[in-house]
Amino acid sequence: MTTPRRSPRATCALLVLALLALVGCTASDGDWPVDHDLAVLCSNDAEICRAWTRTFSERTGYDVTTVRLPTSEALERIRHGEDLPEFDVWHGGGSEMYVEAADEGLLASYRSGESEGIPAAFQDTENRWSGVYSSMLAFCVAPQAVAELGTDIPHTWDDLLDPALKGQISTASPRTSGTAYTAMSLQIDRLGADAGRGYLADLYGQVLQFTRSGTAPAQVVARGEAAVAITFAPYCDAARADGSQVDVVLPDDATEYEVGAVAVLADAPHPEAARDYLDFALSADGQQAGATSGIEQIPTRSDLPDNLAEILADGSYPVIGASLTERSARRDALLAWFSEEVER
Amino acid sequence: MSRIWYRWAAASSLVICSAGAVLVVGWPVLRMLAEAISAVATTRAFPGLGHTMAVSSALALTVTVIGTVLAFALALTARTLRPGWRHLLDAVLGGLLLVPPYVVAASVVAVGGRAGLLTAMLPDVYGGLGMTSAMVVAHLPIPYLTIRMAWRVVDPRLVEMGRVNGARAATVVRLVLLPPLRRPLAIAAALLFVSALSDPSIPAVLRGRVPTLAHTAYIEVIAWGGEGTAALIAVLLTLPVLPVLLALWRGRDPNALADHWQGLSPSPRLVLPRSVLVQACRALSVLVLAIVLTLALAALITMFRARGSLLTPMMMGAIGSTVRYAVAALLLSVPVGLMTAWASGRGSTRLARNVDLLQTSLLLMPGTTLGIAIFLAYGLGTRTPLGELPALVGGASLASGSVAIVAVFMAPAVPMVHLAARAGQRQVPVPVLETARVLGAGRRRVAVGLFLPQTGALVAATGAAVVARNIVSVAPVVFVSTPDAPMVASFALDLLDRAALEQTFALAAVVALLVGGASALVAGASATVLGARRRPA
Repeated sequence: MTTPRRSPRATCALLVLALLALVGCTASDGDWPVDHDLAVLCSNDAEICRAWTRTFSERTGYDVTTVRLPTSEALERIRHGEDLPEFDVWHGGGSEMYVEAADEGLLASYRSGESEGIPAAFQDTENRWSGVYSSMLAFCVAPQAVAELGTDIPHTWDDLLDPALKGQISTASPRTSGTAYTAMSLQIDRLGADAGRGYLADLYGQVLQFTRSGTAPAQVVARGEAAVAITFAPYCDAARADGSQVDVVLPDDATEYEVGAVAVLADAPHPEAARDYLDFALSADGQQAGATSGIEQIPTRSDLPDNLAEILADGSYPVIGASLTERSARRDALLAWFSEEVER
Repeated sequence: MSRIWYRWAAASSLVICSAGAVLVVGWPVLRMLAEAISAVATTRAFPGLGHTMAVSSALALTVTVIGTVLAFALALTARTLRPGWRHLLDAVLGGLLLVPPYVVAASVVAVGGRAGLLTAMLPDVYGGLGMTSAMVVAHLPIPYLTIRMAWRVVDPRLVEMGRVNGARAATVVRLVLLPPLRRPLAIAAALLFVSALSDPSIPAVLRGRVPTLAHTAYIEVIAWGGEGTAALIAVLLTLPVLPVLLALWRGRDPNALADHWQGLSPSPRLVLPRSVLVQACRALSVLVLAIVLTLALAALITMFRARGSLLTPMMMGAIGSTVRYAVAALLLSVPVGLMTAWASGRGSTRLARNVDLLQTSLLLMPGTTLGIAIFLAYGLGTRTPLGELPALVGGASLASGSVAIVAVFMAPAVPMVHLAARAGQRQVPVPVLETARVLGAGRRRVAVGLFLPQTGALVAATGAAVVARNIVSVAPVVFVSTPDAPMVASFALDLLDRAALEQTFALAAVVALLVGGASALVAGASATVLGARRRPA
């Protein structure tokens, strides 16, 4: 009796079918890439980015692609994509980066009807970007970890140089994160160019390791890998709301705030949809949409409660800082110093 | 069909495949070299890079020495165990191939990090110590499996004779076990050195304030603007591979990595004389297994302690998307690899040797170098004589970056399939082949009746290995995908940036289950289908 011989075609077909089945079985809910209605480059926490674009999609029916990149990375990406526009809108991230982008002609001018509600101080005079949220720079502290280190909870920037906190501070790299650059620039504003760099060299000596994203340090502290994070207050609040034992400490001596912005890119492939998105992002609904993620940032619209202008007028925060243009102008030199003296 | 037609077809297929290799690897590497030379010529000084290079080299050297010694101890222990225990050891260490390096690094944090299970008992893991530990464990399968393969040619009777004649264990090792290891061990050590040097993912988790070349290149690429430095680092990372390539090209045997794959059944255990050496190897083996077990347990405990959902829709999307890209790359690579293997077989011995060496060279190129090269070559639009080639890298580029991702997945896949098919071809005895031809068997019948049973199982197993490798590998894919691109490696590095260990372990577990299951399925199916063909009628 002979064993029935299977044809080689059947063998090949079986193998191919097995592979195709594998592809089919593991297909996710996503589809193969298609040309979407709108591509948003988002420089904020992943949950906030999702909340913004989800709300916009629900309201308008647009199909939105979101790519999330830390602010500095996003700016470089837009710069390098000049000949091949990838994105329509840039949403989130400190406005000093938007100043740079506007100066380089990377942003389109668009006057939205919704921009009336935002004070002029938080917008570009030529309507190339508008501030849509704000956050205060703060320390995110794990009190128990600090106590175990035998020291006190830091309340000033100089407290961070406490030898007990060596290797216990988490912050992002200013090369990839706008949050970290805000903290870096604040030291120059606080102490002057030379003393500021000296302080930064000491501060960075205390850092465990630099994260890529400015939203990450609060989570690193929440996980227990460091005792103090330098980040924006809302990210720490969100970690606390999530059940982590962390507290927000606003520095007594000086702090800075970011004005997170939104802009239509100059070479947007879908300019009409981009303008619709901008109208949404500037509106009261748009500014409140991010809060559904659990991270509550300060709105810039004057008609919303607890808005940025009110908080600044209150004077309870020791806010100092140079103008956006000045902060933007010294960015390249500071980042080069960081790369050469600190990172390598 | 005429002999001339076959030769023409073979030559054409080699030319087409070479053109593809030039586009995917050759041109990017040339452009990267030009960028590095231009950076050196214009910048002249790269502050801090010399220090980073020295630290990285010292780290890689330490990993190589420790890894090679441990692999030797483990392989010697395995060879002296009964087949059952030996297979268990092989499975544990071979299984590490399914664990991405960043997961090992995350496990080290779970054990010895600030909130780790054994923090009080261990020194700080952030920095050189943690990176060395994680790299040794993650890359241990390279020297271990190489030594195990090399020792398959050792005749146990020689060892037995030595023992009966009163030789000491050290003498047996020196005279019997070390000679077949010289070349494989040198190659394995070089590969280990290159793997440790070019891995950006372990430093991403554990570097502390210790800079490494691969991670610096990663930051230069993702932060953009530092292309010259990235290109220079990519070239530096390739330098340690050059001696291996030179040895391969100059050596008589172009298949030094594959030819020791001998024997189809488990080797009998070696009975070595009792000695301190053997006992020390056993102790080291137990220590390594204990470390691996501790890391695995720490990962499991961390997962079980997690608050909230471990598996998210985004995570599943990343896994699905990575698997799809890996399978698409495989479906494209198998015909190309088989075609080059077939065409090599049709040509002269010299041509076949050169094609084999070229494929081996492609396989040995560090993933980090390839990733940076493709990023630099196709990250932006390129002017060509036929018009503007759009950017191929990045979430919003042509086909959402799929072209670059599939290309970097194909780059190691084609050589693996080619080498597997060539190894299968060599398993067909020449007398059998000649007899079949003399008896009038046609080409198709020879291919189906002789070559397919020999190469099919090997190619299928290689295909499964290719998919597994592409899913768990970090470089080159992280260099051609943005953080939010739905790829497992990029997604995991984004999770680890924010110390989300629990989700990283869950991701790795799902991937390991998927890859392990699919590999077993493919291996089982090919064994069933092709085994039936090999049985005599």
